[in-house]
Amino acid sequence: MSPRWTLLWSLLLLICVLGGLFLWAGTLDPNIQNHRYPDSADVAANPELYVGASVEVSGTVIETNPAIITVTSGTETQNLEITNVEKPISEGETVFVFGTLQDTNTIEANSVVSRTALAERYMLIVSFVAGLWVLARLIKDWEFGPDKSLLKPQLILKKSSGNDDA
Amino acid sequence: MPDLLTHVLVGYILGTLLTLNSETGRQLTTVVMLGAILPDLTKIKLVIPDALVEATLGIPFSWYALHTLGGVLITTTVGALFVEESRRRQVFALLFGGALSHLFLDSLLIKPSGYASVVWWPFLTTALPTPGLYLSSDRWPAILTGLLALGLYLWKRRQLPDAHQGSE
Repeated sequence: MSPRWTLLWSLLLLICVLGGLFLWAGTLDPNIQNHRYPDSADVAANPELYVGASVEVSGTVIETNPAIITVTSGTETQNLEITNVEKPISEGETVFVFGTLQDTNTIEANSVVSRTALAERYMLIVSFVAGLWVLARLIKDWEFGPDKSLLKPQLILKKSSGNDDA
Repeated sequence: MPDLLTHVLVGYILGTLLTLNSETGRQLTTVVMLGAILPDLTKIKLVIPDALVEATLGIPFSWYALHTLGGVLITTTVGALFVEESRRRQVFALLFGGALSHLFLDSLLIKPSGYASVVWWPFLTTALPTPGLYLSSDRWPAILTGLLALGLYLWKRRQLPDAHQGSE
């Protein structure tokens, strides 16, 4: 078997393994004993399953008196009232809550961590800049070699020429 | 996760230290930096949520696998396949090192439950207690690692001027 086909089959095998991991991860249910608590997606999709259980959710604050957050599973959203919030929170903040789901709409909080909308924007901006930095370095430092097959592009080290770094 | 900038800066520091004596130190440092962002491929869920994939395919599914030890073993191996054969092991090791630094830093995040995400899955299915050092939106981790990276860059310029002008 030529190196080209070996590479192609290796890639296909790895993609299949990765697909299997996606499926396997999808079967992982919350497990309180292992401290894997039901998250926002679990609670938003099936809140009735977790009434009385400890949950760890995050969502955006839409009201402060009473404290109400919106959590989402990606396709479904659920508004949850958070009781026993001991720190001030404001609308638009993202809060992370660990507590007990009292009913399908209420969590009694044991611990609340909040993040302001400004902090959220900061995180997104610097993360975007970091991604661009890595991309720029990749383009500058690496290039495709003279590979005969389009299916297995090889990256080779450029001959060094510059004198810059970070 | 801490912000991606912190992860990339830690990748820069690790990569620089690991490849100090290499003629291709800059290029290999970039590999570590790339590895340090690989686990965040899981953010694809913001565009294509798990629930949407599950509803479409009718099977359980979670992108979170990408943000675990098992996931990064696969993604770093895929990455290593795209370099010339003589460098695959080296690139795999550097990508994996960067990815491990990401998972480690994420296991130190503040969590309201006091337990970190299950980043070592599938080898460890129990969430481990987190010391809760920072939030992902805190600025000091990026400032601290930025200063360390800058110091390392300046030190390297002074200590290894030939290497800097050659391979760098």
